[in-house]
Amino acid sequence: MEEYSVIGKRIPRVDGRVKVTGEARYAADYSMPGMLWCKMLRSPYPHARIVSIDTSRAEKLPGVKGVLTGKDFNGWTWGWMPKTRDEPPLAVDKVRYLAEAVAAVAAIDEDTAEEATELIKVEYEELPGVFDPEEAMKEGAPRVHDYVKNNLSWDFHMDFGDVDKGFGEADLVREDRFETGRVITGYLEPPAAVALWDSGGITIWAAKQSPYFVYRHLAACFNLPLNKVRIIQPFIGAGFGGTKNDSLAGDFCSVLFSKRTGRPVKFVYNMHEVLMTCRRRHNMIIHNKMGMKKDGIITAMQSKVIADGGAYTAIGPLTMYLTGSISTLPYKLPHFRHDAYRIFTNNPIGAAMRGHGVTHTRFAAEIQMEMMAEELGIDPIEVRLKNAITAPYETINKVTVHTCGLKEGLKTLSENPKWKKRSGGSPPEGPLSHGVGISGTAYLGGARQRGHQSCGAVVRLCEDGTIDYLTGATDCGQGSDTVLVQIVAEELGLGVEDVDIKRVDTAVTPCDAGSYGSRVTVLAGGAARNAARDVKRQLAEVAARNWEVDPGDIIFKDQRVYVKGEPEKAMPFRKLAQVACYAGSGAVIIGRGYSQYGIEELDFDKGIGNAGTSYSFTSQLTEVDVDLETGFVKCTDMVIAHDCGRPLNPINVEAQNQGGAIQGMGQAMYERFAMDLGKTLNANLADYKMPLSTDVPNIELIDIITDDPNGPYGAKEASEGSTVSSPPSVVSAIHDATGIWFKEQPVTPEKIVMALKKKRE
Amino acid sequence: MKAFHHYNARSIDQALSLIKDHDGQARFIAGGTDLLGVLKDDILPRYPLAIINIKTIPGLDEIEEKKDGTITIGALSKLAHVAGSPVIQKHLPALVEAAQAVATPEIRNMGTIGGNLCQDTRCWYYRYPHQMGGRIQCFRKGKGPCLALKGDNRYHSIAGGKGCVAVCPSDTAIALVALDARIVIIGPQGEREIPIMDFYTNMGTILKPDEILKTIIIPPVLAESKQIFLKFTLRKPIDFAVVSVASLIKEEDGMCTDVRIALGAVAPTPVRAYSAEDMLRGNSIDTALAEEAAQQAVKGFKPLSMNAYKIEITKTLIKRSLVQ
Repeated sequence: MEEYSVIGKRIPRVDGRVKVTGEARYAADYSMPGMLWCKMLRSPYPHARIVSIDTSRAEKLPGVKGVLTGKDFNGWTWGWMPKTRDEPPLAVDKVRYLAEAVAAVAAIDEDTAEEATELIKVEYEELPGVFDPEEAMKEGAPRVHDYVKNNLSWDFHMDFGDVDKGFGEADLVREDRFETGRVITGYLEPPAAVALWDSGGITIWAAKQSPYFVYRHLAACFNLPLNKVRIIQPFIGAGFGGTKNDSLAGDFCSVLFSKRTGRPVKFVYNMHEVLMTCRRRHNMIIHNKMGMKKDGIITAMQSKVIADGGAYTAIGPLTMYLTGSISTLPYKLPHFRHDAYRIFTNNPIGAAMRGHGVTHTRFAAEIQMEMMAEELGIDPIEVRLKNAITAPYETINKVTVHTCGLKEGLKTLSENPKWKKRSGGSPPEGPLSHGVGISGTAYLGGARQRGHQSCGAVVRLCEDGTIDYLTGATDCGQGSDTVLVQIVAEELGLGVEDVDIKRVDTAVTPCDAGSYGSRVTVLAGGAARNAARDVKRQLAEVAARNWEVDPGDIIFKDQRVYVKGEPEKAMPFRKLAQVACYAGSGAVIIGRGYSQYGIEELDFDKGIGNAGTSYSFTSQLTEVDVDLETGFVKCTDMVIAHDCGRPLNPINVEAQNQGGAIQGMGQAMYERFAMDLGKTLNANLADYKMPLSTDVPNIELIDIITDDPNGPYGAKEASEGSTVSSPPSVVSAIHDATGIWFKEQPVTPEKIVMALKKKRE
Repeated sequence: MKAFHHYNARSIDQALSLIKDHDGQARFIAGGTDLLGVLKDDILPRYPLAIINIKTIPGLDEIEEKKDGTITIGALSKLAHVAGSPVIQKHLPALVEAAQAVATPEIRNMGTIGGNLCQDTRCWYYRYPHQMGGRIQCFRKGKGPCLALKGDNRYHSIAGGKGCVAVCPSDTAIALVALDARIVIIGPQGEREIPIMDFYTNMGTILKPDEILKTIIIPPVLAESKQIFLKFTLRKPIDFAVVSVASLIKEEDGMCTDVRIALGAVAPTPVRAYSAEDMLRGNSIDTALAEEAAQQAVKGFKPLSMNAYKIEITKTLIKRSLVQ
């Protein structure tokens, strides 16, 4: 294997210092002279017709510079696909979820704007709401969108092999109902932006995870060419999918206010707005049926998924696609049928989140597989090893896997003392029961959606030998800036300190699809490598001319350039940069690169093909202590054996795997929005219970190196994998401690203590 | 948060006269960790025009041990100060545990023990923020029925409630009930002293808007008594109690001679488990008796649709407070 100088090293984050010192500016930190504040008026009803809106009193309030209602956007709506553009910036004819934005105010300060929203008079005709997706599917249920029958937002079907034949061959068939909770994405930085409209078009400093979505939305909404829409990225305080991969009412309203007033306009959502109106993970009901032979071999699986989509479609079709298309990994599945239904309700909108789509159905399949193994007397790791795929592999729906470290990961865990000392259900002496659980899952990296999927990079050589690196990829906290800088530095034989990564600015940086689906390292990383190699090629030509050798013999290493086998022909990189830039009348050296997707198109209707460039595999062992008298669960330890191909920055990979696993643990054990007729009752971080630092277990991480041919330097994804592996592993551990299978997330003490009571009686 | 006038009171007299001047349109503030949330979310129909800061009144944050063993705690003592006080640590370990169990270090550095006793309920219907489509009206706010009765009541009362089933969220109140504390209140009519149990009603505390909780008096504790405070939460810090229990037990020659058991977050007020105490007094406490007493304590409790699990946790906490 090639020796790397920068890749694979434990390099501290390039954005660490500015974040720790507070120098890094986030969207809410921006402010400008003459700036106005934008605030939303939100609906008190989850479902109501808007009869009239009277904004006259608000407009007369001193300090108010403008009021907008839905009509000001002239019927424009947006959505992920042309046929799903159902969401208006502000509600027009009716409101479809509680606290949907109905009007907006711009005023000289935040308090005045807020006061003015209360002076807007909206007359509503309340409509019966529907809040349960199973109810909403029924004939005669209230319609969230008048033109949509049975509130069916999207459905997606897969049918491969012959499931009936598969179930016929099975010795054991089980059918179970599983449910995953409605959870928040959990970023700390609320959505915020400052928008400015002038003769140059729109400039917006916005907290976005994938700014090029908003770039297209704003161009479409305001009918501007793309070169008149400029998104400048501040530092981003996390995203996790959904909201920051999309636009929101505040973006559109701030821009329109700026257009009308000629002044910069700012908004910052408060935490209630974040928790009640922003996109959240779909909660899903999964009816799962699995067939298994006596020896543990799975013969067939059939899943029916019902997802609460909330009021609008958003990215829901992709969510539905992912619930099924990745179900064929990581276990061999000769027959598979999948029917997924995304249902409109009068709840807030369900969308993408870390572990997108996959976490729901994988949870169901993992737990069911283990329940069946238990019935058949087969060890949980053994049943996984028996069914696990090995690379190279093509699934029945033509998902192609080039590298797979699942079996190695599971075997590593099976030899772990924590697994070996597993009690296997023998009763504890005191009230504290120890449990050990396992899971083995897969996730896609370098994900693709429909439409434009490419990443670009520009590497500019400065005459002193330093590098300006331009990427359209956003580091929303995952550490991609560091990894991308490492890639550029590695290719040019430089240190990370020689490469400066610029903030994303759609007027300057090359287009990028976005930070979602674990795609930045794999795809933007590929672009960075190609752009750096382009500079290297140009410099090598100069050096080769200089030394009269072949350009292929020029080596770039340790900030020096030399000729292979002729060490006396050497110069510092800085010197070569000068020679190259100053030669003749001067040269400007710019490298460019874009990601090589290299995979065939997927069939979005049938679920055939690769939704990712490569696939990561995660094996996870979890230990819990369950208090059998109170149901309290303390998750004490996790061991995660993760195949990310090759870690390009081990610190980042560790942090991502830890973060993903804890987020997964949160939704397995604590998190849920408490809903009552469309109202989110626990829209604060005291009542909505994300795990705290004190709830976090010890996490041991093991890298399974597989060097994927489709990732730069062998890399695949890290982080979403452990979000998927964590819930089944935690629930498997709770089963080991209690003898009870919990099929609905989150598994809280209230469920555990009552289930144990029922078991005793 | 909407604007309000802010006054720093220099004396109790000045505070009382300021509040009188505002004719019901002002609120006292101490640590503010609870009140600011109430104001930011604008949960109450009447928003105060003025806030009168009583932290600036000298002498209300002292902790003293009298010669007879009585301990007085100024209501403005910070929770961190209470938990760290050598006097409290020596004599009132249950109160140390309770004060330490409140929220986070930041909040314990700001919040006062008086504020912890006076804090408003955490019922999520009652606390629903006004700016998100309008505050929720309910029985406690004087309009309509209690919404938790038919709604999501997993954290509500398991011991009934007259019209409202929101629970008292205070941790220190539960320890102080077990310690048989008394409360000194000062208002326009002068001072009065009441048992802490009388401080709480089904709809909050008896403290009127123009009154200040001044001092907490803890009578000499039973010599060599065992004090325990246990709090069940989903996560370790921050969370409010799902159930809490404080017990004070005096044993002589292995025999329980006196005992007080207080239950928190199970009812709109702190609850004394009198009948369980009666079972224990005069007996030697073993696991079997502790379980029996725990069963007795929850006898007559009526869980709501979603919170029967709290009965199980209550029983466990009582048992553990007696035999651990």
